[in-house]
Amino acid sequence: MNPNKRIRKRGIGGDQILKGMVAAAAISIVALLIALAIELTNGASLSLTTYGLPFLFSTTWDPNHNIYGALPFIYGTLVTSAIALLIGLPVSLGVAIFLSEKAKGHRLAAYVLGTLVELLAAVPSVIFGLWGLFVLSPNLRTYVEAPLHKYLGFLPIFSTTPIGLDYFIAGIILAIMIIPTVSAVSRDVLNAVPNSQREAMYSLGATQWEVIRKSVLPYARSGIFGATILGLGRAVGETMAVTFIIGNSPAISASLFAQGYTLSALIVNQVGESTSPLNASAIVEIALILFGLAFVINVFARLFVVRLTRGARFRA
Amino acid sequence: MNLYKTGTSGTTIALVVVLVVVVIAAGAYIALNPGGTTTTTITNTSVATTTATSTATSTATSTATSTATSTATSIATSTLTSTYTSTSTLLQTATVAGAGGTLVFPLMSTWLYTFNQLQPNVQVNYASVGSGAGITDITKGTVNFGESDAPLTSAQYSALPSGSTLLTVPISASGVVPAYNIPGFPATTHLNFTGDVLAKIFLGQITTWNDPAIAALNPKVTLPSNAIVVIHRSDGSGTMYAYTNFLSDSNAQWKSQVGTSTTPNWPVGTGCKGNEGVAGCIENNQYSLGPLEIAYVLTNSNLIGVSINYGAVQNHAGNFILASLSDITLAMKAGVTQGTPVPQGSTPWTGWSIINNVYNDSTDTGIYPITTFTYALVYESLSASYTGFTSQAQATATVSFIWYCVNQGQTAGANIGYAALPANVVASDDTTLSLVTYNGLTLLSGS
Amino acid sequence: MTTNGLSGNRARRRRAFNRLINVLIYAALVAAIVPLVAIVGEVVIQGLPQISLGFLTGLPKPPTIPGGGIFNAIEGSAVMVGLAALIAVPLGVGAGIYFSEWPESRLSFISSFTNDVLAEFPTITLGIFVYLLVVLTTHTFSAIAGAIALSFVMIPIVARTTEESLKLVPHTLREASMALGIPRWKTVIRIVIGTGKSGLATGILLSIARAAGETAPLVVTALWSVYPVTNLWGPTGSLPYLIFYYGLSPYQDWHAYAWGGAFLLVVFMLGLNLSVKFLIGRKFAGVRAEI
Repeated sequence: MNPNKRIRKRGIGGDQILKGMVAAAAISIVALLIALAIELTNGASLSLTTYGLPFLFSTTWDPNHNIYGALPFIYGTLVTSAIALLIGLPVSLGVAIFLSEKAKGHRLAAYVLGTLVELLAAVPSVIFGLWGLFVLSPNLRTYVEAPLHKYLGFLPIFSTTPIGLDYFIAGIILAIMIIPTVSAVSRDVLNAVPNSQREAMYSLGATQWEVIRKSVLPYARSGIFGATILGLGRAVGETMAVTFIIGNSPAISASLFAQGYTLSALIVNQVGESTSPLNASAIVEIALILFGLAFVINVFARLFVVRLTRGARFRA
Repeated sequence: MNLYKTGTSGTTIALVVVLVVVVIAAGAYIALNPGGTTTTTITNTSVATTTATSTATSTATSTATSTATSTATSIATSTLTSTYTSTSTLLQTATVAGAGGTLVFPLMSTWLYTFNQLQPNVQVNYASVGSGAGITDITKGTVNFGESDAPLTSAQYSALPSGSTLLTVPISASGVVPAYNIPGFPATTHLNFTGDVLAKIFLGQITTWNDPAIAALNPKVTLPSNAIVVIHRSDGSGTMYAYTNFLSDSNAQWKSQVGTSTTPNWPVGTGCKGNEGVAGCIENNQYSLGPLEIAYVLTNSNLIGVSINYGAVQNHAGNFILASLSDITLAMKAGVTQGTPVPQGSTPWTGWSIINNVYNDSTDTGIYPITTFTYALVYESLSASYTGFTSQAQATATVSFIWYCVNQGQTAGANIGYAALPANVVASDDTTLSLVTYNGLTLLSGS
Repeated sequence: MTTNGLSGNRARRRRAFNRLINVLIYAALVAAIVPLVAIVGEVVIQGLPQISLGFLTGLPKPPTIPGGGIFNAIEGSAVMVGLAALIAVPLGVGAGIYFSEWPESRLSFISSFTNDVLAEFPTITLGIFVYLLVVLTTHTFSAIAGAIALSFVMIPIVARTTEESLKLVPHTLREASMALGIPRWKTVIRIVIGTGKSGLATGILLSIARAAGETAPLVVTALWSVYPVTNLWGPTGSLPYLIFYYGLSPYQDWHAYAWGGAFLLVVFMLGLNLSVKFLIGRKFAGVRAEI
């Protein structure tokens, strides 16, 4: 066949069609985020115009008297996330260091242990909530919270009587839930540190930990920071596990053993009901605040993480 | 054109083999283990069948020709025998979605089940999401009927679609009890409370079980010194509406500071979702106290004295009444004959309650003061666009279901603390339901 | 004389410190694995005894009536996840192809970034979005609304794994194919996707596993039903909602339903994740499939 004819016939429609279709799919993702922002802002508009910025700092949530404020929920979200990071970050780092540094010689052990940690992420959060309510909460209350309250109850953070539903246990459940994410990303980051760094320090006679502390971790610092932010994003958005455990009380308390509320728990508890249009709008505004918080955190995290790690990476 | 064979077929085969093996193993396990669900079957041995049968026979015939000849049986058996002759024809296929309060949920779940046995083409679903959500859902038309223990407030009536009429239909009555979990107390010991003391506990003014105010009401009991763990609802609740109604009547500070509401701003305590959640929270926390609908205690009768029990509440005549079918029924009967008259179904019911009507009643000595109706909410004109109905069959099914609940279904809750409606309320409900139309056609004509 | 750290007291301290850190690291490992074992163990202990043919095929009974099953939840979950996949797979794979084959365009950068942000997003906000957009306008809680909400959870995962696995296909293949005169679109569809097929399948399976476990979006879109699915525009049951709702109830027999449902869900999700990892993970050196 005449090659010129063949070239003329090929691909004019097909290429354009494919590119168009997949580009449309790509656009739809951006459109989804934009639509989400618009719809939430729209639903929250009444509350936004009624309260403005002070909504973020107001502490009363009283549907009966039609007064709303977001501070108790922001506080609860931040406190539980802080506990989650405080406990989850060291554990995740430990796991990541183990899997990337110490288990280098034992591929099978690393593989099995690494898989087990990743499987934590495969457990649905509602099951975390169920387990937290029926197993973790009673045990922690009796063996950890009660003694802490008894002996250290003069400290503000242990000052209320523990009943097993509070910031503390919610924070611990969140810590467990963010371990897979933070440790996986940290592990990638640590693996990406060039071996020359380590070899140089070993040749100087450093112990393993000194190698890690002085040459590997500083190199990986921003990546681990990114991993932490990712974990924070996960903790902030977690709904079901927290709802079971937090105590659902829109109050602010310095005590870790007090009942509290988070942005996401409030939404799932009250979204179907509203005593007035302002109530409904306030709930959507809480969702908008959560959206904003999660958006900022996730963007921040990607900026840090994407920069450092190399190589192909499957990540969800 | 496969330039690059990467053995994916091998991977796929492996995946399929694993799946097949798992399915075969599961099948083998199931085949060898054909049992039912857990062995923790709760058999309702606390049977009030005598009261149930007497209530059944005393349920008068409604204005329709259907006769309530149902024989009351305890919930433990799976079929309620009743002759359902209301529309006397087999209804067409329809799915009905309802949502609302958790107070009526144990009874409602039995109603759906038995109604489906009587009318196999109709599937009624009920989501127990709380009275607040029930009102919102029916307002927005996302369900076919709503359910609430609290009548709509005037703000909620104004939020209804313009031109619509929402009918309020009492379908049952029950009591809200102060449930508590005090380890070591025998099952037969029921603490005494007054509305004022309860208000002070929920205001955070009384904080320990052995407070003098509680001890004064319970002289024969040694109360522990532990702190009271206060439990309440986290979601919008008609049960809480009834409870705070009673507290507002009993204590002036409660009335001004918190008031009566489905979503009060609780000064103290932990929020749990639904009556189910409150019951669960009380069971899981020692020395806790929370307002609970009585059915949730009675359906867990095996736990009474173990982890959950309930107290008696003082009525205006001065008697401490332990909630039960008979005193709830007495309160209901007193509530519909005194005080503010019962409104018509198609008019607003804002602010009406049995609790308000009987609060100052000192002549009826045996009434339980925290008794509340629970209402079905349905629009009058079901073909309007705001209602979300899609067919006449669905509309007929909905109205027939509510009719069934108000008539034949009344005996079903007898041994878990739901009082059967008195005859005049049933008659009023039947009249209200006859107002429902679809495309102008009255759905329950003359049956 | 020697004050360097290689001998003497300083050396001993350094080695002791090293050992302490070792202990802490092992402790961290234990702290990470014990919860998994505890949770899965509890679910198995409480949930496995509930499983029987009757449990898998029956419908839930009202409280205190024995027997019954959770077929409605299993079927509802399967239907909604299936529908969600129908929406999410074309969109996700399409977007992934775009990211991988046209990475230089600005749309690719923006969309890929947005995709990453959406991947870790609080799913309750996605649920509210669908509630406002679909449930309120159609005047009903529905399986369709639930499926749409779940698809929003799935799309980012599918898109990302598609992108990653297509990027792994060597450029030489594409170039060879084009050099033979095969149009670009055919190259992409037949060669590139053909080579990256298993990666795509991985991504789809992982996204299905993730969607099957989501509860928050379903609470506000599909609600609950105790019947088998007959109407996609009506409320529909699902396994996660079953666990949430029945688990929080005060009835012992309903707790049994919840644990049984939890067992099924955990078996499904863990099984899917594990099989994907074992069958796919080996092929891509240095790449791990993770959720």
